[in-house]
Amino acid sequence: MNTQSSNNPEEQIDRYVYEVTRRLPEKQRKDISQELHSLIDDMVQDQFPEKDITVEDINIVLRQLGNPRDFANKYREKQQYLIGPEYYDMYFFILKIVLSAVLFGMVVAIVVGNLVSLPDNALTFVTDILAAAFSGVFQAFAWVTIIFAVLSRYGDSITGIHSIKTEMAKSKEWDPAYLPDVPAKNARIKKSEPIIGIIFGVIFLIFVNSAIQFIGIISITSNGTTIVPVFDPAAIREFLPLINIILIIGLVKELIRLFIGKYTLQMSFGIFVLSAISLVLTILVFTNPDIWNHNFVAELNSLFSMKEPANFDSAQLWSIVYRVFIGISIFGFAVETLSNFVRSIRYKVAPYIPKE
Amino acid sequence: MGMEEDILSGLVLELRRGTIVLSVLSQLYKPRYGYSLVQELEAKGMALDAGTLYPLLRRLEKQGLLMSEWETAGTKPRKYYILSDDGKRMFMLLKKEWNAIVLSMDNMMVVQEGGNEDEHTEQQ
Repeated sequence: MNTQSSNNPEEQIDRYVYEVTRRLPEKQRKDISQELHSLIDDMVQDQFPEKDITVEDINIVLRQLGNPRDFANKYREKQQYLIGPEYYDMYFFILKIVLSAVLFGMVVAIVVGNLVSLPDNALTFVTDILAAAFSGVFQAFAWVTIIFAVLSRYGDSITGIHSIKTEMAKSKEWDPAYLPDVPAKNARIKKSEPIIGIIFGVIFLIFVNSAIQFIGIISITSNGTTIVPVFDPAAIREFLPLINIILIIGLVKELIRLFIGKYTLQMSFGIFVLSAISLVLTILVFTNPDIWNHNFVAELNSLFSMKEPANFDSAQLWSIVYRVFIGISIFGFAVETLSNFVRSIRYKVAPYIPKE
Repeated sequence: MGMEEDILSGLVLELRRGTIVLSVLSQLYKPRYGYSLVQELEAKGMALDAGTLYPLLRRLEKQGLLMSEWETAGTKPRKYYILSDDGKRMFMLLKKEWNAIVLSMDNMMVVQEGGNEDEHTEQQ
């Protein structure tokens, strides 16, 4: 881009006009360009009659016309937004949370990863961190932006959940009869809850994707770092897409809680459906015997130079582990669903208490 | 004092904003190009910068209130605007609204001044 200042008055005018018109729709450009040339000519002749025009004279006139960007904005009838103003604060808020969680998660995952399998030199270690952090942040940024751009464009129909009464959302006509209840104090979801959920969800998502083989028992001795993984590295990778879906469902649940901000029946039902899907997937993944590391006990024993107990059955150990794991998942699902519905119903019927 | 001036100029700007369209329409019974309209309005006490006027003319044309034509016969090409029939009708309707506003504002302010005798006499 040429940033040299122009010595030619005509060129200076061209530059200004171009700066305005390049921001406008193609089919208006020619007309507006002509119009502006003629305007600037008129202004210059009006203010500097019978004089050889210099660039400085032109600049005086251009300063009166103001920043070409503002000028172009006035020509545009409606503002084009990627992220609409009503979502802007929320967008930056979520972006900050997600980006810091991604950055943190990446660094932790890579530090752990490198502790275990020591890299050749410190340089690869540092470049690994930088490269992964960069691509992670970039991806997170892109996804958050895409989600909010979609929300901005189709937000009215999506957040129809917000306006509770769907017939109202359809007609778009505002009627005080449809004003939603002020949620009772206890019916409000504290913002900090879903936010903490999102932070841990994102960190976990990154960890699972970059360092799942390191979930296990880590022993650091003078001989180096050894790890006894809980999962079978090859098998668990095949299940990564499913595990990612489970984790993303978790994030979506937290986002719903954050957006709706109070316990309602619709929200409870939506979260119930998502949780049920997630539970089914969890059972599908973790009841599969292949994903567990069947040499876990043997490796552990050799690590700590212990003897394996007689007639030890590794398959039996894992079947106990996954039963406990799934038991906990089902219990969590039940508690969550029940507590959501109970709260929604209780606060819905709570009578209105006027403020003093 | 600077603050009072700031507030005043902000309020005056807001007050004048609503009258811009009416003053532009009022000057376009005969064809004018943008810059001559800027000068005309300024001479009549309604200074308006080109950055506001030019996009406004375009919008009014799109709404069908103005018509435009490029005049290429002179030394340089100029775009002339003039009221369309719809524009003339709209101008008459707006003028009626304006007169009603002037009337009710006058009424309100007379009542207000009458209620405060001291200030009333001071102003005279």
